Amino acid sequence: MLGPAQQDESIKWSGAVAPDHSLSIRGVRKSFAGTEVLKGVDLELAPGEIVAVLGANGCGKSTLLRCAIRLLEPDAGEIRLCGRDLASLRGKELREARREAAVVFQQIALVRRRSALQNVCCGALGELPLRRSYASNAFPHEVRERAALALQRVGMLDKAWQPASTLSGGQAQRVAIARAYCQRASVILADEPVSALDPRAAEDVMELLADLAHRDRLGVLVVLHQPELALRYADRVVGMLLGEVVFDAKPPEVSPQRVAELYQHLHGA
Amino acid sequence: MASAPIPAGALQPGPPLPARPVRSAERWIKLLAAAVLLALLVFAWLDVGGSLSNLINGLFGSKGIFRSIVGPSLPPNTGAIGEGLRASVTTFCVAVLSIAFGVIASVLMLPLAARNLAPSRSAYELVRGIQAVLRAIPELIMMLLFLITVGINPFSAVLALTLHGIGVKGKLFAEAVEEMDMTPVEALRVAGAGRLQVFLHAVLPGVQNTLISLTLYRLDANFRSAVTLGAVGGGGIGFLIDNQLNDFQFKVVATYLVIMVVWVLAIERISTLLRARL
Ligand SMILES: Nc1ncnc2c1ncn2[C@@H]1O[C@H](COP(=O)(O)OP(=O)(O)OP(=O)(O)O)[C@@H](O)[C@H]1O
Ligand SMILES: [Mg+2]
Repeated sequence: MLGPAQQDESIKWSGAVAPDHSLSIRGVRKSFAGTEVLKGVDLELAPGEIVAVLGANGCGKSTLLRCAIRLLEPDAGEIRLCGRDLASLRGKELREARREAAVVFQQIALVRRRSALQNVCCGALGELPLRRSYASNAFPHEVRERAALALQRVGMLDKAWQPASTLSGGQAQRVAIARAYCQRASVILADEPVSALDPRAAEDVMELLADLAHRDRLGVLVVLHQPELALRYADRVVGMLLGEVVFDAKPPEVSPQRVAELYQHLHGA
Repeated sequence: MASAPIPAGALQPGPPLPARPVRSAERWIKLLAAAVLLALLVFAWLDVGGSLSNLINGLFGSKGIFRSIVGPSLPPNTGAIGEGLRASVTTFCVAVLSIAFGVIASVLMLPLAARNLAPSRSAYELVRGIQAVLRAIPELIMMLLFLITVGINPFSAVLALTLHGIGVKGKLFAEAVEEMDMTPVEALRVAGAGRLQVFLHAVLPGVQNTLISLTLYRLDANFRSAVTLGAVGGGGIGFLIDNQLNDFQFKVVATYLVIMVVWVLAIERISTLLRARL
């Protein structure tokens, strides 16, 4: 039997006693104004795994990601984040559970006026009391050190003091990933993280995400519009069509034909 | 210099445009709108007792503004400069204090007043409703109320301007927040940050420049209002202008007016310069 301390450990970021699935989505449905956008989606994400989601514009990828962390309220279905049922949680509990996940967006979600370091420190806000976080210079020393470590991990330590507004898209996206790292999340949910980046920067970011999955044992779920990046970097590729998962397979098993079908309905009928 | 010959086809007419679809109702609605507008203007003219002779006499007649006021007020009385400057500083203080209070209150209201931050629809409606009411009551009327409760002094003007300013700035600030990029806010929410933390680390730094700009933009309007409220008991240069007008001291009033205009132009100029540097 697990003692209380060990149980506690199992929901923290430790890797050793990690649950089977960092993120488990079962039968999630979501409608907007009567139109069903997610029609019962199942998706599992294990620690140490990077999973790519492909699908045409409007097929519900972003909606799925937002439901997965309850930025949107799903109409039905179950979502477990590191073993905890998100749907049943409220307020403070929800906030704590959500800390296990970090998000990365296409529009670089950094506070533009603040330095890279300050932005990365903000990843730790969830664990800080207000008196240690009312301003950036109130952050504990430990958090700054962890932020520096995170910046180093993504290769941006030399840009620590640069305002986010002056970073290039690729640099900024790596800082956003460093914030997720500083958050010590177990799961990174990335919505088109490379859509605004040039091919070279896109490769760098994908390589970094894959490395975080494989080396740091994070679960990484990444929405992409570039099938070739998905097939190259992901351990599994999930195809979505009109709110449903139509395939979920390892890259070698995903034929170009199946990928093409995801985008065909737009031009047919 | 040899210019290239114009190619033969260059001046040919373009392709015939397809006929513009005319909705039958369109013309008719325009006519009706014009008629309503005209009727409204005629009614307004009659309602305020508009008359052409009043207009001309009021400007150029023997009792018109030029002969009975502008003429006698020249040259301005330079002896009144000292007192005028001193009083105008009070007016400026009224404007600055009311702006400061208004900004603080508006920022504090933001978490409820901005639709994208408000925890519930009803909280948002309530706060924006309060702001709408504050905005709807003119500063002068607000001042008349405070004259009763607080008394005849500049602080009444500060309170009146603050309340009206909360109505105006509260809305402008909230709209700035509603237009901001929400992705940093969401990223911090997911990171487990509380409402206040998100507000301090994502919302405020995101809109800070816009808020400062809006505040500077409102500064000269607030100064002018402070002058007006001064005239009904709020002190400062407005109060002096009113007093001297009652004594028909037009040359002194002229001095005060010049001082006031200089203040307003200076504030406008400085605020523009500062905003350009943001
Ligand atoms: N808040 C909302 N209100 C109403 N409809 C919405 C809302 N958010 C998304 N939708 C609709 O849901 C559908 C799926 O949107 P979603 O953003 O999830 O697509 P997506 O797969 O991420 O597309 P893209 O590749 O363009 O990012 C779209 O038809 C969209 O119009
Ligand atoms: Mg999307």
